[in-house]
Amino acid sequence: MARAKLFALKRPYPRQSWNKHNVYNIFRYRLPSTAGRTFFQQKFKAKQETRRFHGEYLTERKWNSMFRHTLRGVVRMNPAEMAANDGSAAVAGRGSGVDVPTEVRRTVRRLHEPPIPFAQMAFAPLERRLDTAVYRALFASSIRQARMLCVHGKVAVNGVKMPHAGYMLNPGDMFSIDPMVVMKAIGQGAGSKVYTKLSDQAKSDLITAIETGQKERKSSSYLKRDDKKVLSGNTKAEVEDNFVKTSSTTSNPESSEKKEGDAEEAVEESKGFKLPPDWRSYLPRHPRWKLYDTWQPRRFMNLFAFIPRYLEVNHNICHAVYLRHPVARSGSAEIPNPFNNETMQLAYNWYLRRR
Amino acid sequence: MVVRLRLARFGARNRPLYNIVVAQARTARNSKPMEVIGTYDPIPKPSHDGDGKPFKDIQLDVTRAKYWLGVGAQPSDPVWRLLAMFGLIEPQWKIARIEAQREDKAVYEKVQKVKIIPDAAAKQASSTTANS
Amino acid sequence: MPPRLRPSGLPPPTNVISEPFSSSPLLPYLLPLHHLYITLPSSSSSPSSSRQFSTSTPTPARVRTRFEKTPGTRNGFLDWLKKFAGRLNVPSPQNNIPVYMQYNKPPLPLLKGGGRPNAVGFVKRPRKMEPNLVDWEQVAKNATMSPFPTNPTYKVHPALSTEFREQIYQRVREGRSVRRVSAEVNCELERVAAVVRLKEIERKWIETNRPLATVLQTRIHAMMPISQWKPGQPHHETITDLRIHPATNNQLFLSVPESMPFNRQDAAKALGILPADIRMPHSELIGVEKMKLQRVPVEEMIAREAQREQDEIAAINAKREAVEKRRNAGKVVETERFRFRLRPAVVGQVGYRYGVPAEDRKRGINKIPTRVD
Repeated sequence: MARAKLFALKRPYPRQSWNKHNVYNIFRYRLPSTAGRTFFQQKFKAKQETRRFHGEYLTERKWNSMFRHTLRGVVRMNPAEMAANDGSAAVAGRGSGVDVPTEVRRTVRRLHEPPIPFAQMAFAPLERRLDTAVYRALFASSIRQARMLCVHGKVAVNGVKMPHAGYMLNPGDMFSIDPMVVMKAIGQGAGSKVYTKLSDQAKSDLITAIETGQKERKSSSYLKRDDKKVLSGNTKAEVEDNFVKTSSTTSNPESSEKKEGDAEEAVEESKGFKLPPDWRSYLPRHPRWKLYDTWQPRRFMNLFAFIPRYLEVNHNICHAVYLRHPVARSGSAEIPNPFNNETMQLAYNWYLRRR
Repeated sequence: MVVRLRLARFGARNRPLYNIVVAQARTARNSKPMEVIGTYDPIPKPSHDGDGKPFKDIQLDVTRAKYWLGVGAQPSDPVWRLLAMFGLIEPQWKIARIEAQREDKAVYEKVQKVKIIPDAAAKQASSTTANS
Repeated sequence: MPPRLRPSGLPPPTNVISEPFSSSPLLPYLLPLHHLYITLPSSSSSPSSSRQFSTSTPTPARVRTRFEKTPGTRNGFLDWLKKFAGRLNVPSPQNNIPVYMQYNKPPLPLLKGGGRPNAVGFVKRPRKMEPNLVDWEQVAKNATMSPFPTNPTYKVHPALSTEFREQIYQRVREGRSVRRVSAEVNCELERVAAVVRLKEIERKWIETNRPLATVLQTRIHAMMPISQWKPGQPHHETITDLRIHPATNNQLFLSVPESMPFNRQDAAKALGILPADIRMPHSELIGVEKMKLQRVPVEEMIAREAQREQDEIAAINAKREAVEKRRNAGKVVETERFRFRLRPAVVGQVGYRYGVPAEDRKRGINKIPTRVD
């Protein structure tokens, strides 16, 4: 239901998603025109359009409580210039700087940097939300998926599970997801397809990992439970027995040519090996784990593959740090969206509540 | 009525936090006590280095605790355990005591040997409580 | 009256220059030769060149309305997908050239001699585009950094390459301060700290044989612009970005004698904020520049900078020790499973509330934690 509304082809609205329909909609999206509209109508329209992109899953009430009229910006400073003069020249004369010949002023103006697009920061408070940051760090293919990952408890902030998608990140917060989950989320196909094409090496690795893991766990759990049992010959024999059994099955040279399918099936079929239900938990222990080899990014990911400057992401471990709040600087703002300054300015004015 | 040293439960559901309080024995658990002498957070927090044991925090005003013990306040079992960690009283070993009553001498001796903190201050504190 | 946006027509502050500025070549670590406070505006920043990549005419409006008005909208979309979508994935494996929203036919520039000239002299484009025939440098030069065609103000900033991160990490591991490394590699302070933090985790993963998602990393980096490590002149971003203080957004009327100088310090005092010379990240660079203006001998400069750094580190260490001391105050009792931290307390200052209603379960109270330590 929500899906049909999100990516309607009849009326295109850009959304924060890598969905193919959304790509198409962004392609043919036209900014709202102000012609023939009163100022109020212009603001209303701009608010409508921008809210469809920014936090469309939040109620207006929720967003209103988050909105702040202060907009963050930065100016580049030049230490050499600051060392050379103390700024008094700028206010000398009649309060508007020392008189400069017109030609010089013209050249100076040409060197002027483009203005700071402050209006682009109107929705900056949303960027602090955990789900938005997860999407921006390329850990999810849409903002709704990012939200889902949070709510399902896949996301940790500073190593602590954070099931609230609305958690407001503080500068310096580190959030992380299991790489396996990320690869599923932004990989081609849905669900278990990450596991599909297992190389033969990977298959044998998987089996070895599970075997060694099981062995370790068995012995350690017995150790914990009771010292006596471990010392008795009974358990020892059991472990050994198990080891012999599994190793004999793996040494079975029969058909490693089975090609694709789910990993579980692939392994089971090829080696005649019964995977335990918790087989995934054995994976990370093994050094030669090559399951990731065949990962493919989702289609159209290249159009959205950019990370804003206020995040530092390490995809090797799927951890990211929220460095600071997003800012606007001369000529560019740090919040990705398809709206121009005029539209954003109108939307910002709408939320100033003085209409 | 007896004056007791006991815990008063605060915090939220599944997230207890305790005040170590001095209160009349028959008053309600969370009623206003005579004095709050410390807190106890029973939820283990992961250690900073990551590999060590998780830790729990206990805060206690030791001088006030000593005073209340001195005037005959009776600690509840959980508080007894906490005060024993501060070395204010001998550790209370319920099971050990029962077994000792059964004249299981070996176990009794073993229990006698165990001291949580081999600390001079602890000994002194316990001797003061014993004296009073 | 609503608070106004900063008027775009105003001239920028005088102490912002648009030219690359190189610092002293004589302080190799403190102030490297390549040190750039300002990056040159890239070619894509000018509005004229923002859509340089698509030389063919943009799709006319009536074509768009066809999709919108025809009843068979879905078919229209499928047509579009066939026509354009294949070209959205223009491979750019070598130079990390982004293909943000290049909807039109990519006129990939060819290397000289790439196409075969026919009898008339026109260069015929090869039917199948070979990656080694494409002039990737040219593509990179022309690439627009705006992923959204309707918003030219959003520019994609490159990400740090893995080598860049490794270099940062190695420098910090050598014992250099974050501030120094930041100035050295031209990368924000916070970013340097974050890179080190993330690399530490990565190292732990490697040590415990936990597999890294290197495929993910390389694939993603292949799709986006990347700041490559240049041994002589590493540069990622400007490091002296000063946050505009909210107090400066409002007008302030102050009568000042015309004969009296009114400098940055006075302005800060009038506004009730710290002067920019202190608030600016890497404010120590101002001191270095001042020394250069005073023609302080190089040895002296290095000595002073080293002293300043030492003092800074000592101050940080003292602070950290104090915190550590406070944290570890009191005894620790170890049991089989837990470590009990015993801390002294004072009656009256310890304990949870009495007589205050608990509002934590009340409707409308925000239950989402505001910080995670």
